[in-house]
Amino acid sequence: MIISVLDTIYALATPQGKSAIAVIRISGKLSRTVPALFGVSRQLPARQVGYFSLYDGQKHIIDDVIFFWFEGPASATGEDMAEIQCHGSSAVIQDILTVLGNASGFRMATAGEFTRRALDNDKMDMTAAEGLADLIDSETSLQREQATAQMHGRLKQPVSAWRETIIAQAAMLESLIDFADEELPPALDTEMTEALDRLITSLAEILDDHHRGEIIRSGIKVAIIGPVNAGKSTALNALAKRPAAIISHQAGTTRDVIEVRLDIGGIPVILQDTAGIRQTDDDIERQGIDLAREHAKSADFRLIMVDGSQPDWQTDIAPILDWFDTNALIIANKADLSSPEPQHNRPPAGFEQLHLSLHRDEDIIRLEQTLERYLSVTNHQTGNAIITRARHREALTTAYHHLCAARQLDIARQTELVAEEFRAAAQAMSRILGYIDVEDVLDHIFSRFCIGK
Amino acid sequence: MTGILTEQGEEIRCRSVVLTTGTFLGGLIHLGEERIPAGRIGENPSIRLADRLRGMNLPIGRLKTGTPARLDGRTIDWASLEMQQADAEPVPFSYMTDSITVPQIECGITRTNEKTHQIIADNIHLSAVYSGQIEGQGPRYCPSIEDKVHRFGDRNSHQIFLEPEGLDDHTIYPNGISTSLPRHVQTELIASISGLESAKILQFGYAIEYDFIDPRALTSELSLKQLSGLYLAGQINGTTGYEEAGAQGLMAGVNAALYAGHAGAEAGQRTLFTLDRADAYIGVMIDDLITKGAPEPYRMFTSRAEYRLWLRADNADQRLTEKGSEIGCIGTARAQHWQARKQALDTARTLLSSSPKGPKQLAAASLPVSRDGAVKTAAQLLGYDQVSFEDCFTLWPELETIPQNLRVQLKTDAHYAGYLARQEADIDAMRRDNQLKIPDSVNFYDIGGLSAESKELLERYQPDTIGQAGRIPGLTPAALVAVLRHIKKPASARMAAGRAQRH
Repeated sequence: MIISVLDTIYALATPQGKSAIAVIRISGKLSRTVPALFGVSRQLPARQVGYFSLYDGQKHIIDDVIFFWFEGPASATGEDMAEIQCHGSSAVIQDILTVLGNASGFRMATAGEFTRRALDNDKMDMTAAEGLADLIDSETSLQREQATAQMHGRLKQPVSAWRETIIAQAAMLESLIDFADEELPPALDTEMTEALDRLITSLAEILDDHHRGEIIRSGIKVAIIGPVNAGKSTALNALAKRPAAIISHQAGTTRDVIEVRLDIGGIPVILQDTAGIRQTDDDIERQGIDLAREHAKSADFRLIMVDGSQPDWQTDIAPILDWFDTNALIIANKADLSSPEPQHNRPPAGFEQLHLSLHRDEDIIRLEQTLERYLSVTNHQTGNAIITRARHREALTTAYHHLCAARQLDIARQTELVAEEFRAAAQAMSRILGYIDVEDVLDHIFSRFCIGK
Repeated sequence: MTGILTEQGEEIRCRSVVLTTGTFLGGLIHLGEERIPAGRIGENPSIRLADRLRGMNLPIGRLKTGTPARLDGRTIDWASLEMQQADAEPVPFSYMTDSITVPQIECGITRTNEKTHQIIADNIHLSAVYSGQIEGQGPRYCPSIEDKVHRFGDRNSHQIFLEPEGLDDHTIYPNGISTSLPRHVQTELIASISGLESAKILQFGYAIEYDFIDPRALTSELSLKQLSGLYLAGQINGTTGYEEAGAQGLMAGVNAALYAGHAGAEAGQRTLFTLDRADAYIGVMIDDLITKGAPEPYRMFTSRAEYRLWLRADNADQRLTEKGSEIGCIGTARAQHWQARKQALDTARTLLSSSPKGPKQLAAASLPVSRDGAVKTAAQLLGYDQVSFEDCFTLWPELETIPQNLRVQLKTDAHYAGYLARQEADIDAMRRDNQLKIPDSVNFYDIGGLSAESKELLERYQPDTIGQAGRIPGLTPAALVAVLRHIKKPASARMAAGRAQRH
């Protein structure tokens, strides 16, 4: 199949299946002609809503629909765009799509093609498109907030501003190099050092965000770990409110890692149930334990589940505690059974511990609440992370290193090297947004300074 | 290309021609309201040549430049002016020149003042540039004095260099006050400036408009894509400046000679002489011109060169002599001179990078020691800003044998070493992209997965290589990948795709 960007594209914008209303979106230069394909002779002006009966090729009525169209470039994709709102019946949708598919110059949109056209027509920049993709994927309110913020420029605005500053500074350096004879404003050095310090400080602040943007986007990983038969799978099922993991009284039931996605107080959580830790000769079980260790290490937070009715549980978990820092909560389960002496029941230093029984509903609610409190802290919920992807972090870190390197140099004597570092820093910023051209620097020089004899 | 027919009816038969028309091609001088067809003051413009080129349906545009009035140096009050001395030790361009012996002369410095600016403000409507007579785009970096006063209204003074035009010439070039104001205003304006109160004007300043050919119509050897054998150099290609013109003259001349020697051979079989962006500023300029065109007169700023730290005057021989030898442009004396220098450089580099010293020895010689206690070579030490050759003599006495004239270059190389290593990877990538030729037969409208904007950009710029396409302003990386995928397909598949798409 040959895909042309000149085609008018269409797609069902609402989910497949029965619903009150379904929306079909159309983008491309033939958008305004859509009613005519369905036997409607009336020409509808742009931005007016029409109520039409649509007919198929055999002059049979398909449905009564709402139709309107926007004239490009004032549309989401920047091209002419139209929308059909029909009844949400599979048959109606299918018939409408068939008529569109048979029309010359129309074809079904490929995945992401509406957004792609919006990008190509400068209706959206790279970061906004990423935000949109995240919004569509968002499952919790925090994810939604973060995605919408990125769509509205939470990343783009500071990055554009930093890039502007870097280009402005680079322009000053270039004017020192290329126009040494000219009368340039004095104190360029001080101005530049100050600007550089401000840039370095703001970048360092942004980068020191404990990866919370990336964590919200992909979900906080919480691993449930501990000795066999402590109730790890029971905890997973209780929090997931469904039987996601098989549970039995037989020790070593869970071998693979089982993951469920949860929304705990708006925070996206990936809860991982892992194999219980014990000495074993079973090869498969040992692999499961290795996997458990890896997940315990890579998780953002851990629930260490122990059987609190056993007197020696502290000894059992001692080796596990060496795997990570203190970002964990100890849950002493089975509080409904007999408790050991208090001296055997204290949490290891630096850990908080929760006594509960997963058989009691109020205890499960207490676990949820405690977890939410912990995750909000882990997550620094109050701050606004602007970095949501590894790609952003990589580029901003590169820029940061180049700016720090520039700061180490002597601006007056090593002008060309400082310029080199600025160039690299600006390029890194541009990788997030678009790209830099030397003309940006020259434009800046000529608009700011009176250059030329 | 068969030859030239001059205005006098003279016929010169030749296989290749280089056009260097400067401001003469369709030249039109503006002086206040006067409009004088001329190549420069007192000389006829090239009108028939301009008509002939327009007849070839080439992309032709208009550019503008200006010049200040010329003054009689004997009428300037030098005693009242600040003077700028010539360099005490002028540095020659070439290593074959040991020292510069011609006399050096000083320049004067004066400034415009509020009275000058008032005269300009009162008469700006009479300036050809401001009355809307001129269609050609002028350079932003050589504004006329009326431009400077208009655009930078907060400045109440601009600097003027009074430059003698020759050793035995009284003509003074007042650099900084190019203008197209009418004669009587120029007289008043000059007289308002300190030191120039009774200066005599030898010739009035003016603006000149001329034809240029969009350099995107050129190949990298500076010949017209649509007429092989016809080479263009200088202002006709949209550039400004002496060095820019000289560099193109060299490249066009060499290639025109190579072409004449191999006339009839296909482009693939001929020897071409081209330089890329990492070879020389010449390569940067020509690549910029043929890729991006010249929306304003093009000037070679060092900031246009991404490999600026490598493109240095001190290593020009190292970068270019052997390339020149390959096409027979290097004389015996120069070739021998370079061979000797190259050997000396190699020996010196070996000395600098052998016998590394440990931290104790370095500390004893008061040289910088790294915290990790690693051994260091002299080359590494010279990378420190504060370490000189002389500082290294205690530990490496053999370095004293390195001739003085190599030390500057070696110190610079060491100083830039980290940056140069980083750039090397970029240069390799750039050269790989330039190897990826986009065949002439490619129709960009046939490429699938490209936005209409990208197609238009590609059709307009007609890049010859993937490297060039990557430098087109506004072309997205995704578009570049689509083009790359397309040219990697076999030719037959490309044609089929084209037919299907057009259908």
